[in-house]
Amino acid sequence: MKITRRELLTRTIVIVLGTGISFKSTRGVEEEKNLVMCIIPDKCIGCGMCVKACKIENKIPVEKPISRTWIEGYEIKIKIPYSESDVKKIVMNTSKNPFLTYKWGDGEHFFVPKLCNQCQKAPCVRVCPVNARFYTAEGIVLVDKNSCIGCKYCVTACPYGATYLHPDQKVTDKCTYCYHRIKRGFSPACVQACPTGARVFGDINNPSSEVSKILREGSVDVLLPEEGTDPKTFYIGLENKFIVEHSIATGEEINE
Amino acid sequence: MYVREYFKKKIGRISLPDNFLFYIWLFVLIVLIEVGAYGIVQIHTKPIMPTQPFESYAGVPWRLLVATYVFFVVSTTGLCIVSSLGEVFGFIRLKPVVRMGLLLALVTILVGLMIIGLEIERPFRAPFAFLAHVNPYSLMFWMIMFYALYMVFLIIEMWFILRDDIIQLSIRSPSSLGRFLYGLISLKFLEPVAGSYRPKYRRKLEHEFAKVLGFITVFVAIIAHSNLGAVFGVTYLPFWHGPLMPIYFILSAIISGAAILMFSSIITFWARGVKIKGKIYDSIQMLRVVLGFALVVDLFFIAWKFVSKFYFPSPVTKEALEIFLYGPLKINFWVFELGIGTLIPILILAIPITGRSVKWNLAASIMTIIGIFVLRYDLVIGGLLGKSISGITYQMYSPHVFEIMAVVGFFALTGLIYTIGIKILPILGTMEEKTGRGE
Amino acid sequence: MNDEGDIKKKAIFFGFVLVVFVAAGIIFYVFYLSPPIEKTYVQKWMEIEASRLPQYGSPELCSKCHFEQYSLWIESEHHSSIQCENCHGIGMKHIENPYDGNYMPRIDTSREFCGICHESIPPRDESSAIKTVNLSTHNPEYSCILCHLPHRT
Repeated sequence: MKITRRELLTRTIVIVLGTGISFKSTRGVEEEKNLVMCIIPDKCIGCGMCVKACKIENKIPVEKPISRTWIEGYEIKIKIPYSESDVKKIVMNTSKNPFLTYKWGDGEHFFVPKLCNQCQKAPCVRVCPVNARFYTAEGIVLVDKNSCIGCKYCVTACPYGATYLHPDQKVTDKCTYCYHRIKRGFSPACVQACPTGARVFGDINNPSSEVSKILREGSVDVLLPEEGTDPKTFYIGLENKFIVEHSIATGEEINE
Repeated sequence: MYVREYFKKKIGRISLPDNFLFYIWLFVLIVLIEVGAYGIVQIHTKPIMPTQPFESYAGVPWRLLVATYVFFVVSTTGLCIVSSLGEVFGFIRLKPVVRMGLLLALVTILVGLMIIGLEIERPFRAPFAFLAHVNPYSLMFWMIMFYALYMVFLIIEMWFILRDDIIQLSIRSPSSLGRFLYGLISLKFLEPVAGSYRPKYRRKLEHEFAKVLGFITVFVAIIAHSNLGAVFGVTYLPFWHGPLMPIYFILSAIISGAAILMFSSIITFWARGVKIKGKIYDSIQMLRVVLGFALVVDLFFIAWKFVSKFYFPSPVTKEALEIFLYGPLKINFWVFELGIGTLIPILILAIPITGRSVKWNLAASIMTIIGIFVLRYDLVIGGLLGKSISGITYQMYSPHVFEIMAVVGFFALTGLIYTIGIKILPILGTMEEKTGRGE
Repeated sequence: MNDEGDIKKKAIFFGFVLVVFVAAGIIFYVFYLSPPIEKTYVQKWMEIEASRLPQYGSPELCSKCHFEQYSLWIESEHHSSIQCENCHGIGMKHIENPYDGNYMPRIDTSREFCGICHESIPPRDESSAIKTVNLSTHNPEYSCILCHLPHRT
């Protein structure tokens, strides 16, 4: 590619002026599909099928307590003012199901499945020093495992705790919405494995898809809206829960 | 010195070489470096790094090695700032320790970059990645970039400062290898006139250019260092988040630099048998002023930071600080950071009787260094533990034995490079010329 | 005096030139050289990621061979909402090597296995999507499939 001197000068000026404003994006020109996931915590029964399916599908060590998706079981005593000990959180991220053996006490109980929120303004993409994280045309954040140097800044920067260090590959890893599956027309493994339909996956640009209908009807929340990450994983009907945990915050109605 | 006398009395009959203590020192350092190398190899071959999600406290992503890296780069910035006070900004009383400070700054930045290069999970990938595809929006990239630049500028600056003396050494060195190497380092063949005489104009120009370079180096160091503060400051974690983090890093760098320079200069003068009096004593007294002042400012900084975050019991900021005040890091905070690291040194330096005594100064500087190291550790680990999670009780992250071994190795490496630097470079040049060749 | 001033000016000028060169080099490298390389990396990785083979199949794939069970299941009352592989385990390997014993799908009829979803625990209350029983009081000692056929219910 040849660049004339004039072009070089203008480009330099644009770059110098625009470093703060311009957003480096690898998104393609045509943004036909915008894939999102909708999670309905009311329907989750804590069976852990999604965790197992995800781990086998993506070859994550099954018995190690790291997972691309995990289920949090909450036991909350409703009391005002609440104290730290009124909130109990049990995490399922291996093939063992702790919910069946846990001695549940009084209070309100519910499950919240969690995974990478696929933020559209992702902190992990922003902080990665070697550009190993990027957005695809569908708006999915991927980790380039051939470039990742394992500095773990993304692990520190992710407010959702959704990214982690893969112990065998020695690079960071996170949910990709099963990119290889959705490229072939399947739905993600966790969605396919869910027996109650607590996870719905689809294209939000297609008005007749199930996701669009759900998002149009229910009250939609995202996790940690105050972080300004613009997630693409939506949560339906969290507001009837007792909201105490910082990562289960309400707010940000989506007007589709 | 006392030890040598003692040994001489004890083993009187066996004739020891004059500098056998020096060889013991080298031997210990090399053993420790091997221990550290073993630790690093084990860290990378055995999966001791987090195999838990970050939220569970067993999966703290940044650990002891990152804390050590922060300690080293804080030290290098501080050393550079304190040395430049003497070299560039006209604190002439610091003159006798300036070269030592610059050498230490160079050693610590080298070791610091080495630590972070070995801490990441894919050490062999990193250099290529930083050469090929970088993210200009990442503060971590700019941090590494500026530290690398700083290192280059520092080397050039030191070269210009030392060049004249190295040329003299290349003429006077007893061995031909020494003559050749010193000549090579100083690029003596570029000189128009052979021999020890050099025109005043050239020397003057080199000196001035070194000053300008010193200014640039300090500037780059501060940019790099505030970048490091911002790496922590931009995250959402409540203890780290905030614009004051970079400023705080610069301030604590001065503490770290002054303390380390005080410590190492006293030790080096003792080891080389240089009497600490006159100008040298003055320079250490100057360091005492700088260190004391920085410590007092730091005390206020810590106090108001904690008060402002604890004043209203907002759950987010409160949880972040509970760890320090009465959580798992309470001993580190109250005893090491505040007591040993700040209050006792301030007292020692402020009281005239102890402040004017070199031995007490040494004690104060050692305490400050320990305090600063614990402070770095608490900053990194405490900030990460402060990720507020309801329903999970605090568990303490404790460093793995391999990590500790690696840290010991890195400190030994610092000592080794510094010792070699003192030996071969004209760091104490002007003093030694009077007393012969030293040891 | 004048000479010294000249030296100072010269030194500052050299320093300035050095800084400008270094800054220009960094800007050129970061904003011109690095992005094209990075783009090829991204492209390559997207291909690698997309080329990974799925492990988890779909009921339609299962129906190619097991049509009998499929037709039973698809008309069942409740279980029609869950996929074959949820109970029988991941099946892509089995599809590739149908007669390999290592990849045979699981047929687990133990009470604990049914309990993963149907055990009654406090979070699964009346409003939950699945019917639950207390396994320790609901006809212990008997196998679930004596009364409940998984492909029919």
